[in-house]
Amino acid sequence: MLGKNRARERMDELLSAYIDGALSPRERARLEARLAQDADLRARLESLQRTVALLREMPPVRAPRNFLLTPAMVRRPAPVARRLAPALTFATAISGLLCIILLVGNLLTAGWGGMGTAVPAPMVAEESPQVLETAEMKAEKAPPASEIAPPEEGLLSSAATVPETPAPEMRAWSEETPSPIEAAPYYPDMGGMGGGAAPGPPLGELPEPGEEEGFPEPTLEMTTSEMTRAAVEEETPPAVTVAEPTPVSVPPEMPGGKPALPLTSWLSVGGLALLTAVLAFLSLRAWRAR
Amino acid sequence: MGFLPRYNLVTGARRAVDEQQLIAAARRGDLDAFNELVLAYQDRVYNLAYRILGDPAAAEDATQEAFIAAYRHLSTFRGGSFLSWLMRTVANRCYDELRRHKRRPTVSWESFGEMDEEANPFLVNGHPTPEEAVQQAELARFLQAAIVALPPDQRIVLVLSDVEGMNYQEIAETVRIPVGTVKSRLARARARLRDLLQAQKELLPRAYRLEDED
Repeated sequence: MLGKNRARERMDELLSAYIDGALSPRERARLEARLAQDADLRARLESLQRTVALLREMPPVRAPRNFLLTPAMVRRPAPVARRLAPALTFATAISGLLCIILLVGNLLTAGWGGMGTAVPAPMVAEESPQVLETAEMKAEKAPPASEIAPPEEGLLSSAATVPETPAPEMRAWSEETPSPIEAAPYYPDMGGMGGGAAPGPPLGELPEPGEEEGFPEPTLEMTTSEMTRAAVEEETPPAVTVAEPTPVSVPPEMPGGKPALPLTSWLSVGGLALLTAVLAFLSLRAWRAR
Repeated sequence: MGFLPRYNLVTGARRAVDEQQLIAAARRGDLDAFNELVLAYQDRVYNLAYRILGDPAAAEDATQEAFIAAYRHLSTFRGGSFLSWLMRTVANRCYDELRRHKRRPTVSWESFGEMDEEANPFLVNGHPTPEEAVQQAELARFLQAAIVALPPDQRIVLVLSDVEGMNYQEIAETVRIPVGTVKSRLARARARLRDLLQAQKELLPRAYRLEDED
């Protein structure tokens, strides 16, 4: 049954193309040979031909009115905006998403910094060798992040070992930074490291006090503890005289608190929010122009 | 009115020359020049839209939109027959319309029996006798109802071929389907239309019946 229908369809296709003179000479000859023998096929061809003839003779309908264009019809409402609408919408979504991600990231980071037990961590850690280590490493030729990661664990545990922390090691900071206030620019980075989530400035942009202090250039093969020991050995004698653990007395709202996040992080969130709002407004206008 | 239907006065010979000048002027933003082209071709464009869509209001919309689109994209016209280009433009609009809305025609095959004379008042013919005129009008309405009973894909190919006289290649370009698909759709459309007409032959005027009664 299906095969028969298919054969019929195929034949209709041949007949239809025959009417249009669209058969190849060979197809045409074969069809004409069949037509000569098959009266049914001839009848089908004739009924198709009459159908086509009826269509071709259909009197045309006349336009019911004039379709003259007016300037208002062809004025293009902001074609650029029209084309940009999808792109603008996409940009709005991306910008909004980034804004939210950054905001959440900042809040999480700042939240950890602001939580009761965690508050002292970055502050106290400033005295711990691990954090100093980090600072020194940054001070040197910015080693890969993977080498910085281990100190994070030590950072939290070091909160309990504050008393054991040798004060002299603060020399690096106190020498460089006479007052905690002036030291502030460095703390955010440490806070960022300690939190592990803050999008702090790239390591490459960090200040490099190490060069002035004359630390031995650590090779990449040196482990972090080796580097620390080297630094401590070098610096211990003069450090004794300095011994000024100022950061310990720094109130919680100082570097260890919310300001631990770089101001740029919050500015980024604000900037992205503003950008999102502007993009959303433009998208809306672009869609309306369509 | 800024638009003078100059074409009512010019001869066909002048028209071809005029057409190129009008297109060139329209390209420079001369809307009046373009409107001369509108007046020259609006019947053809509307006819095609009406045959495909089977709905006077939808055909009007498609015609107007096609002219607007043609004016805006005049720069894409690269010579050749302006009418063909225009017909492709309106056929595309109708095709999009059919695909978008799966529009149901107001002149449906089912309701053809009860259709009154007012359903399609725009029929044009030469100077037939009153009797012929009535027959012709009846046949045209009958055919139109049969055309819109076809699936949209087949309908547009059938109209472009058998009402507008486009060849396979032109239809393929207009509807953006392969020539082979044009062939098979056209064959199916014609066969289906034939079957519809044969099934309802008592509605056809005697002079146009596909098969002889005796």
